[in-house]
Amino acid sequence: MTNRRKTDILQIIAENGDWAVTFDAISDMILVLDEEFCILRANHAYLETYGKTMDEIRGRTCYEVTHGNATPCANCKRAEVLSSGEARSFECHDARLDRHFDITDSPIFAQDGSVCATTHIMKDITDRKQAEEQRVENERLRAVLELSGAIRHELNQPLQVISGYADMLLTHLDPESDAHRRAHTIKEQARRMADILKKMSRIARCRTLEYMEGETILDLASSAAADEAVATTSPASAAHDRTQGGS
Amino acid sequence: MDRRILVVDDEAPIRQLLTDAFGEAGYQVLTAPDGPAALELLSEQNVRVMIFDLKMPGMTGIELCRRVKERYPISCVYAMTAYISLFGLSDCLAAGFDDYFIKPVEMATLQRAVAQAFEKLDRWTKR
Repeated sequence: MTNRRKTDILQIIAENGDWAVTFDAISDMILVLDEEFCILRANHAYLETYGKTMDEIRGRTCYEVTHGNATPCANCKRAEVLSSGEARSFECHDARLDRHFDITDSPIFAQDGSVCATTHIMKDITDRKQAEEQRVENERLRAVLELSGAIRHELNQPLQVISGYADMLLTHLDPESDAHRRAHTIKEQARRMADILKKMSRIARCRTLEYMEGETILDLASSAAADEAVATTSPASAAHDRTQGGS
Repeated sequence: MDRRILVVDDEAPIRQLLTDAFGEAGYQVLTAPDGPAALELLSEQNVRVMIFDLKMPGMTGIELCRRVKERYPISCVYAMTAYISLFGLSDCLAAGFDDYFIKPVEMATLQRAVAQAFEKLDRWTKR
């Protein structure tokens, strides 16, 4: 950067010195960066968040101080701001702070009309992002629960009939006969299906697992809450033990 | 007391299964596909042990149980349903169901429950 351009920037900042108080009052983090990403100014919120003094960071690049990186962030829009003279926004995750930021870079123009620096405003959107993620998760869960309720309602009816008649066959057939063994297999497989449906009734979150290449399905085992949670809150919990498989 | 039970379920195969299973066990099984038909049947026949499905078109099993318990307080009514939430269970208790079973339920379990219902009613009615 030429001395002339540096003078331009510093003059702009000096002429607006009273704005320092205003910027320090803002909870969003604000930097003023030169064309090479070097920090010229930082407001109080930024210095406090990263535990630095202005003297420690002046002249160092934003990606080094903010992210500990040796190069600019992959999704950084500053180059576009410098070339177009228009503001740009993007989202960024700071792995060290584990916070999400909405970043807006806006141009500062030199006397000749060229962009000589940018303001770099970092708005912490972590809470909003987490609330949004939670909302999406809740909607997804609700859809899954509605579907599982419908599946349980529809499949438990024929399953009752299959399982019930298998029970009857087993009481009549000679335990040593092939027919008894086959009826027993029908009963066992019906019980297995009933267990799967029972698990669906305990879905408390949506966890997926890879099924085929690039395909995911609901992971029933990790999405279902523990059985005890249902039984202990049931007004007639004993009846749960008297459904399939229990006695 | 007559070993007579009433099964109310809109699923014909379920009605048939319970008719077969309880008939074989020596019970007389009456069936109805919905609440109004069940109430009509009860006005004509003396039945005090009943098994109701909960989700039926028109009148739900919960509403049916409420009406039955008003008219026939000395009775045992079981819910047998394919699906129920905790809220639904609370409604079942309030309606007066004596117990509930989630389909698929073992036939032996149901038969034990029905046998206990008759024992209970015998104690109440034969003092």
